[in-house]
Amino acid sequence: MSRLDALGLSVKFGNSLILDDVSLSIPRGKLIGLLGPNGAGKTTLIRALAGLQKVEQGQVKLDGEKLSAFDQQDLGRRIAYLAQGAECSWPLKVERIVMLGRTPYLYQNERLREDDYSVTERVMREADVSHLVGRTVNTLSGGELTRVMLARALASEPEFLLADEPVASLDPLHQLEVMGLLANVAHGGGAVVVVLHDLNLAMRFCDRVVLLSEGRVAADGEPGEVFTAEILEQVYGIDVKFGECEGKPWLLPWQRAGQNSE
Amino acid sequence: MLATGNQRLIERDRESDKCERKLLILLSVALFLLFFSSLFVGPVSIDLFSSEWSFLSESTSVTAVIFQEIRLPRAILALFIGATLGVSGAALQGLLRNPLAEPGVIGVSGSASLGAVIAFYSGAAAIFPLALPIGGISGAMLAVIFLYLLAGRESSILTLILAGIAVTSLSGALTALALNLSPNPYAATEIFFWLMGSLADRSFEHVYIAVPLMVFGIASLLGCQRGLDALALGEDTARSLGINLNHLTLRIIVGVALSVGAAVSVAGGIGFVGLVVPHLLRPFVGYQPGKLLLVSALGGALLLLLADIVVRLISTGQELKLGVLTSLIGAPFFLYLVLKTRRQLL
Repeated sequence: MSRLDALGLSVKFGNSLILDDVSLSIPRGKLIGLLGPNGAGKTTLIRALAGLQKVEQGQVKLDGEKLSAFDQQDLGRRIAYLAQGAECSWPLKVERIVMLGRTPYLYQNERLREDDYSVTERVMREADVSHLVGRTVNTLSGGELTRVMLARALASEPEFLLADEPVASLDPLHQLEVMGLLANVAHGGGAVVVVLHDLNLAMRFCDRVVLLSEGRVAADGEPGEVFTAEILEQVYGIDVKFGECEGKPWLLPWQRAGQNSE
Repeated sequence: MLATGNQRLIERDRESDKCERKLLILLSVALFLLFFSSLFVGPVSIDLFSSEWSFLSESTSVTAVIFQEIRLPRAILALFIGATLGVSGAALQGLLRNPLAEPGVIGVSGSASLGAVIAFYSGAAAIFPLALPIGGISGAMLAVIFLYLLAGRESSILTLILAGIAVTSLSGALTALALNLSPNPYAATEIFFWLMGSLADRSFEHVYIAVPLMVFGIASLLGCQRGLDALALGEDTARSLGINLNHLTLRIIVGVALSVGAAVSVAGGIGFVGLVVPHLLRPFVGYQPGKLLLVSALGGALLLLLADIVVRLISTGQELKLGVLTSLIGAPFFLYLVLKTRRQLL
């Protein structure tokens, strides 16, 4: 069973330490939420896991081997990275963008094969963007664009999907749908790491939550273990109200921590 | 349901492939026709059949000499230089993800010009004619090596643009210095005319030295399709899709330097072809940067052959320089693109 491990990662930008000795193990079959306050190092960590970030210390290992030991195209088939804020420089057609997810399977100027098309079709249906075929990206709403980019990442049929804030610009319905889709991918045998800001989405969908604070792992475990009043006050500086619905917990960020006691 | 949906996407793709093939055929046919008409435009009119016959039999008649020594190398150079400028523009725009990029932007044209100017200035060009192309190619090569040392390692596109501006400014300043310090006005005039860019009075010597380099450079650029397509989604995403950005950047820099360096060294500075052609053709290939490469090569060749014919047709007495014509048309176009791009940003 393949796995992705971060071992003692440290990343510096100038003099400031963005990641400080972060270790993390990502087995397959789980949806892992990466949370933390702004500037905690979430994006840097997920970029490092994708092999896109230079690290000062430590290393990222895939199946026990350093990422740099892998052929880049091989890595492209195994680890997909969904960047924050869907960037597209040219007004390409939607299906063209999704097909770009097949890039790691092609050599030089090779054309798409039959199965590349069927994978493209399937992931477009999964991400609910089939009806957008023929549209150009500059005509899409933010949510549509995000789902197109998600389909692009899925089209690589990766073992590991690393998604940086994929639900940030989505309405509640599409947030639920995208999280459900990511959970399906994970439970179907893939591993998904998703950067989130929404504590409830993490609580509801993630099998495991990694909470970063100032470049360090503040907590790592099941949502119920991580999202405690004490930890959330420590990391975010907030008071949280907890509740329960259909036997499942939810939480509501209520106020700045310690506001009442003064 | 599954099969029909699948069918639809394939069919869509085949359809657009068909359109692109039609465009390629159209461009090729137009190119073929223009190439031949280019051979029959000039101050001396040449009869189609007699001249071709005398060319084939290697006669030394006046028309055969004009055809062989003047018209043919000129048309061949227009073809390859145009293709060079078109494909280089398309490749650089794809790499920098900016429709305003051009071979001039990364400083290769400027430093190639400087190399040629130094050949003029040192008097080497007067002693042996090949000094000029060698100077131009060396200039382009130096720019490439400098750019790679400065921007190649981290392959950040902003660094590349800034390095290109630095190279352009420096070579522009040194070219101006050469003009400024020129001891005799004749040399200064010669440099000045060189910088304008022209295809007049080029020989097969120029063809032999420049065309192989241009072919090599163009071929290198045409192999960048997949990388440029993926790069449309940003540097991180392209890398995560298995594209080696360092290789891609290096390949494009070398391809542009070789082809543009050789082109500038035989024809001087011919600007804006690399800007106008990809822009006009982009909608026809669904804005895909990879597909744009080949059609831009054909389109560039087409445009330059056309411009070179126009220059000969409208000139009476002193021939209008080709570079002047392309700049007169290209500069307002550049301004239009700047305004359009700015409006999109706002």
